[in-house]
Amino acid sequence: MLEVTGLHSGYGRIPILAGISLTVGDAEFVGILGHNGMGKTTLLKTLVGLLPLTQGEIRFGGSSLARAAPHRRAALGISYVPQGRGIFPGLSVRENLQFALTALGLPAAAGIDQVLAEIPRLERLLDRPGGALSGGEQQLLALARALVQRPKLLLLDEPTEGIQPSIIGEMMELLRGLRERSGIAVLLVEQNIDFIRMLSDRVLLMQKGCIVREFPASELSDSMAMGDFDGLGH
Amino acid sequence: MAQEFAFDAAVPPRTGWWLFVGAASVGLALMPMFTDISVQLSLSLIFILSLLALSMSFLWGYVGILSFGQTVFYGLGGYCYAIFALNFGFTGWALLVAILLPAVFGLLLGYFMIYGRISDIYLSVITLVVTLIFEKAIRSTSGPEYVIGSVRLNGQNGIPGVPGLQLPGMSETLSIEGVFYLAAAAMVLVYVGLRLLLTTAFGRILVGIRENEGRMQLLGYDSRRYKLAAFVLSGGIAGLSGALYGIWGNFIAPEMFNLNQAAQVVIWVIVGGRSTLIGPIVGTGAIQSLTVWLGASGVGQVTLVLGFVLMIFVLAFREGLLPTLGAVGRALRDRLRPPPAGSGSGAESGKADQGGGHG
Amino acid sequence: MAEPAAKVLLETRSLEKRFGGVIAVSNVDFTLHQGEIRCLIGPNGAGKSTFFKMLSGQLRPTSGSVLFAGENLAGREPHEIAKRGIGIKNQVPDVMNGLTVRENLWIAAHARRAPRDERRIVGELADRLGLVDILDRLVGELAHGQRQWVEIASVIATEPQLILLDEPAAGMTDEETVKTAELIRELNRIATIVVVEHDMQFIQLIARKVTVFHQGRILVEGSFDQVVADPVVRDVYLGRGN
Repeated sequence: MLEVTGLHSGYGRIPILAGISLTVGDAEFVGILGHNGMGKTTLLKTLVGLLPLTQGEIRFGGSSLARAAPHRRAALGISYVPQGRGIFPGLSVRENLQFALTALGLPAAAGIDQVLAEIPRLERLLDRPGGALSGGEQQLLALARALVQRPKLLLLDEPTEGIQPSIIGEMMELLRGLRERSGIAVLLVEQNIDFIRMLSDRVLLMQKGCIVREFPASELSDSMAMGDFDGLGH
Repeated sequence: MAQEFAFDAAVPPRTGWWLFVGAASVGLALMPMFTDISVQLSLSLIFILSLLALSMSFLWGYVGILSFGQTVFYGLGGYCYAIFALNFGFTGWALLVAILLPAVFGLLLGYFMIYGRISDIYLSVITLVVTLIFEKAIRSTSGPEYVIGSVRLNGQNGIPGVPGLQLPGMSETLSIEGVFYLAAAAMVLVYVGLRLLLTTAFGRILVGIRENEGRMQLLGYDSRRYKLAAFVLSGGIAGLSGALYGIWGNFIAPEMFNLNQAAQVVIWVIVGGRSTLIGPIVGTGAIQSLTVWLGASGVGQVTLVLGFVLMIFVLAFREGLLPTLGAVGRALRDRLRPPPAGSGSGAESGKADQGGGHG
Repeated sequence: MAEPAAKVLLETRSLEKRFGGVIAVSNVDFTLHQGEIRCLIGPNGAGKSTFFKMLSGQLRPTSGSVLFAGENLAGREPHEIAKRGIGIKNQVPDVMNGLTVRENLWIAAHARRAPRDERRIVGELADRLGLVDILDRLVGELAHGQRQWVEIASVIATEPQLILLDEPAAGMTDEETVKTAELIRELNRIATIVVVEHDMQFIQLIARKVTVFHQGRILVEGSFDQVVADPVVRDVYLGRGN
């Protein structure tokens, strides 16, 4: 579904990604691990179009994304949940979700009901302004807002950050359920090893803007993950 | 949107900058030899108005306060100079009063706005309203009863016959050439002063407040005190500008407070760019020259043209002339000499080494 | 280690915060002794960050008092509270994005009341927190986790007596999390620390006493093991698996 080749990107004069190549197949969950500053968020931002690529190719469902603006990529079926949530603080939870639907021309009411069934915790917060939610609640809203668009590919940047343990479990079940029902594919950046291990099929290790290792999630053990990081240093 | 020049500001100016200032000063000093009086007059006005632009731009670009009403202090400075000089004859002291009184007014107005926790947008609007109030108030002082000492305020006609500067030891008031030197010196000194101020702890704290006032408070800085100090300083600079205007034109009028003048200041700063100190000077020069040229060419609606210019800059050259030129220069340089590949750890982010154009 | 005889550093009495009709923090009596490392845990929306912000002065309590070393700081200006010796690292990175790391640290170092040797302090902080390689990078262009480090460095630069850390391990790898725990233990030698976190492994590394928030109130307090075994805590917060 997603094919990335030789991707280079960065901020102005500072190159961050130094030639990334990866694929995400239909209904596949791919995890990305790496220290801070290694380019994980930059990669997701480049895929969704918030950062221009300086070199390389991105193909989604067969067509090239290289020049497409972010809203076009969203319309094609890529949804992005950024680190730091990015929800609209001045709008209520309901309005945040409606916004995501009308932006793509989707019917409002049905979509919201569906996502509330998936994330029931937001139900009692529907009329609360986004800015009044706690950090974890905002994270859930950001996830709901992405899901309400029924994406084919979901880009998640540290979705469990600031989330209480019981909800992390619920998120895992939610994402697994979605894969079974709608064949959604996920590219997941995470620091929570358990979360990545239990959700991903494959794990990619990023360092200094490149992918240095790839292995099946089952091979990801705590000590091995730690060992890899230690070996490569910081 | 990193303000390239602004965060560089804490670094003491490089030798290139000092050479630039030195060369410019020498150039300015020699200019009267090669230019006739009308050019000196026009340039003096540009220097004087640059001070006004600097006062606004310093506050906006380096402290984060958008004041639409620097003309309050500009007009106050002009009127103070005129009234004091005409009453007492001591033009030197008049100049001093013309700097201090606007600063004191800045202290009062600033105190109410900053300590009253008035939010940014409202602060901008209030400064604009205050300058319009002054304009209205002065316009209504046409009657003979509006007198300070022996000087009639004269309402919308303004105060004519404002004496030129004549310091003890001078046999006569400053000539046009003398005013040129005075204006140029004031501009250069304020420019250098502000630049050096930014390298002090005080200056760095101001920039920190612009960046994240909340975090500064959480570190223990009373941001209100620093903002007020900056506001008072810029009020004094604008006051100086107003007084020099009186010395330059020998005439003071309520137009100094009006919307047109206030808007022009904003245009100068937007065109020149607020993230440098040299930007506003260039912006003032460019727009003033354009205005004069348009007037001379018989173009009726000068304000309309200026409005277009403003729109173009806000849409296309948002950072202003100088930062845009700087970015273009950097882009060209990158074409010729691409930066090294690999992760950006440790790389310097976009510190432009401008040939002397550093603000 | 906080002995029973250690004096009370921070005490809140009936502390409450309402936002319109919503009660975010309700009637909280919280006591902290000098030298403790206390962890605050609880479900999202339980009021932990709101509680913190009332301690730092970012939010004004609706009612109640905050006694710090005996003085009631409730409702005071943030900079006054900071000068009294409370430092906070916020949940969302709260730093000067348009300035370099070096500049951020310089400004923080300059704020110290004690004799200022900013250059040296900046160097020490950079060493301690692994920021040496990125000292001249713009903070706004750094990764999320790196910006957190910068904020933590800024907070400890002022040498506060009480350090409040809101999710210091968020966005960190396991290795970095361990380093953060070490840093916190180190800081505990000269400061009292309160940490809001969700990472149980991290909390286990540092906490002696844990306070659980739920729906704006303190649900239960105790040692890590006690709290983790509590059935209500498991129900509302930890989930079945943990």
